[in-house]
This record gives sequence, C-alpha cells and structure tokens, in this order.
Amino acid sequence: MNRRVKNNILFTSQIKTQGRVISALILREIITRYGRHNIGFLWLLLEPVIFTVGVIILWNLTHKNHRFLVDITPFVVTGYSCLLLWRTCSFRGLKAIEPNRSLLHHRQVKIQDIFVARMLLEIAGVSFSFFTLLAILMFAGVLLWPQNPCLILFGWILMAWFSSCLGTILGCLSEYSEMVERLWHPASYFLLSVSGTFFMVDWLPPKMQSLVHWVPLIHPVEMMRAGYWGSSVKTHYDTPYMIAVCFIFTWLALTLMADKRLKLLT
Amino acid sequence: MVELQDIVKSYQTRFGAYTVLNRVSLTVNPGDRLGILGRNGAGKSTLIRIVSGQEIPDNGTVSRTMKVSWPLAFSGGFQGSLTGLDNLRFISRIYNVDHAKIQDYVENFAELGNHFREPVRNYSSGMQARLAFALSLAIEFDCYLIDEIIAVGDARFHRKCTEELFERRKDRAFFIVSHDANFIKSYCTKAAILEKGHLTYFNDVNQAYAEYMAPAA
Repeated sequence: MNRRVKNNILFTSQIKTQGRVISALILREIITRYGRHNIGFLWLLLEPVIFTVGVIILWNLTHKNHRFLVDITPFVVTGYSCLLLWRTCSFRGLKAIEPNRSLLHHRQVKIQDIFVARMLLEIAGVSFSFFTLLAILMFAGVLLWPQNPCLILFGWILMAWFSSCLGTILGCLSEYSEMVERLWHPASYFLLSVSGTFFMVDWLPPKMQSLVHWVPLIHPVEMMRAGYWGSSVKTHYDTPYMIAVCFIFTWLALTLMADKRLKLLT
Repeated sequence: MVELQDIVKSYQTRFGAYTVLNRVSLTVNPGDRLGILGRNGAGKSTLIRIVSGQEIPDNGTVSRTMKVSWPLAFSGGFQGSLTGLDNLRFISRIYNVDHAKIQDYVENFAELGNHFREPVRNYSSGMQARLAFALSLAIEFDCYLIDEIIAVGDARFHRKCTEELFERRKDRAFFIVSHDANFIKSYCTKAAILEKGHLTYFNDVNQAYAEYMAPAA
C-alpha cells in the first residue's frame, strides 16, 4: 500500500516536471529559431500568413479568367493551411533530437518532451495564423461566415493530430537512417499532389476517388471545406477512417519514441 | 541514497552486442564520496549516465531518493546555440529554480565575463566546465556526479571548485568517475575499479590506488 501512495505522488510531480520541461523546451526553441531581434517569435505566426496570402493572390490572378468550380479564396485558405500544417510538422520532426541531444543530459528531459514541444509549437503557430487569417478575411468580406464552424475546427484538430504524429514518426525514423530525410523530400512532394490542396475529391473520376480515399490528408481538408460551404458543395470524407489512422499513428509515434536507443543514436 | 542493483547495459555494434556493464551494483549514501577508476572505454561514462538517469539500463534497478545532479563533464548539458544566460534559464526551469535568484551567483562564479551572453558552442571546454560547475552549485544537489571534469580550468579556478564542492558541501554525496587515480585518492573516501564490465570494490582508497597503478607500472 505504501508503495502505491508513493507512486501516486511521483506521478503527479512527474506531470508537473514534464510540463515545466516542455514549456522550457518551447521557449528555448523560440529563442534559437527566432532570436530576440526585431519581431522575434511573431515570425512563427507571420510566416504561414504571408505564405497563404501570397498563394491566395496568385490563385485569384491566375484563375481570374477561368470559371473555377468553387470560390477560390476559401478553397486556397483551407487547402494551404492544411498543407502548411503537415509540411511544417513533418519537416520540423526530422532530426529533431539532434540539436537537443545535449539537453538529454538532464534526466528530466525525455525524447517525448522534445517532440511534444516541437509539434506543439508548430501547431500553435500555424493554427494561430490560420484562424487569424480566417477572421481577417471574414471581416474584410472576402469570406462568408462558415456553414458549420465546428466541422472546420474538428477537421483542423484531426489534421493537427495527424501531422504531429507524422512529424514524430519521421523524426524518430530519421535518427535511424539518413535515408528517411532524403526520401521524405520527394515523398512529401508526391503527397502534395494527392493531399487535396489542389483539388476537391468530387472533381475526380470515381476510380480516382476511391484511391485518394486512402490518403489520410484528404479527409480533414474535405471536412473543412464541408464546414465552410455546407451542402452546397459536394465533399467526401470519412471521419471514422481518419480517427482510426490517427490512433494508429499515435501508437506508432509512442512506440518509436520509447526506444531507448534513440538517446544514443547519432 | 542512490542505489544501483545488478545493472546490465550493452550496446549494439556492428559486431554484435557489446556488454559495457555486467551486473554492476553500487550504493551512494548521503555524504559518501565514491570514486570509480577505469581506463578509457571501461564504461565510466555509461555508468554515470545510468546513475543520473540519462540512460536506462537493459536490466537491473536504479533508485534515487536524493536530488542528483546531471553528470558534470567536459561537454553536454548545454544547448550550443543558446547563450550561457539562456542555458541558465533553461536549466533553472527544468530544475524548478528561479533563474533571477541564481543569475548573479553563476555569473560571478563562472567568470565568463561577456561570454556569458555568447552562444555556448563558442566556449572552450574550460568555459563550459566553469558554467556547469557554477550552475550545479547554484541549484544545489544532494549528490554531485562528476565525470573527469575537475582537472579543468586554471589552478585558481580549480581551487575555488574544490573548496566550494568538497569543503562547503562536505555533507553532500559525490560520485566521481575518473582515469586519474591521484585525483580519486585525494578526494574520495571509497573507491572501486571498473574493468571489463565489473566493479571491484576496495576496503580503502589507497588499496584501489595501488591496484589501479600496478599494471601500468
């Protein structure tokens, strides 16, 4: 019985320690990446905004003369924000341990904390810029109030969940082999073309539709577009499938992070 | 108290598993000064990392009931692209200490001058060691883990460190690994030799010293 009580105390104090470690890692990450010069960590929020706004302008200009199937701006905002989320998470995950390796000298710092801190920071940055952009565009009258805001939020959460697991898995694997990093660059480029950023599933022929259905990235994007347009635009997404994929990826990420060899690999 | 029981640790190499520690047990009680002697590659650093909790053994149990420092060594423990000051802040956060309270002490003790606000990767190993010492003295541990580091720095800094550590903090426990038998002899009260994965204890430090020095002579 004594043992159990001791363990309980340990558990809560451990949670507190992990919280302190993760916030310290986030702060250290912000300082090393953005420094204390000019606007500092605001770049974290501004980078995605600049990127998305640029693409919105570009698409609106290039598609001015075409009759596009849906409004360009909401199509681009949903597509590119999701793209940014999984791209930044996956690329920030690669080799995430290396620059933090010397911090593992402190027993409080665990591999898990490094990934949680990185992914949280990425997700926070892209999310903040996405929702700010939505608000500004709605305020400016470029976007309408979405038909189902909850569905947008839900899609975004699934995307963030998936992306953080993806980044963690790639990050762990990249410690085992250089190949992972090298292969992820072309692979992510290929994934880009089937990620739903540039098309809506409904535009594809039925055969292609059933193929892209397997790409997890598609579902949150379609979900968010369904949230914006409601039933006026036909969308295809499979929530149970996406959640199942997220759970599998979570399990994979947790298993990989638990490998104690990660602390030693260089 | 820090207690290791039947610790086994092996690493994968291209030629199969290499056992660094084979059923190693040790106890560090409050106030103990345990020195582990070993030649290069004997597994001293592995052992100290297991004591600190940085590495998890393949087998055996580790229990820690006192506040144990990170292994103070020539490198490690700091993030290279952060300044000394930012590293101080980071370490204060993870050890739950108010960084404002210890900043002056660390700055004075480490004698880094303006380098304190420069990235740690530009430090010499002596400067890193000074920062590590200053920080671990400022945070206060019950048990200090020291990996070879003491000999670093000039004579004056060396004296300052030994005074702060072994005189002012003589109630604390020390766990020191070194290849330097003279150092272990002068500062430790207990000693053991780590060789081929086994730890051999001696009744007194002089005996360990003699044993360690014998094959070399």
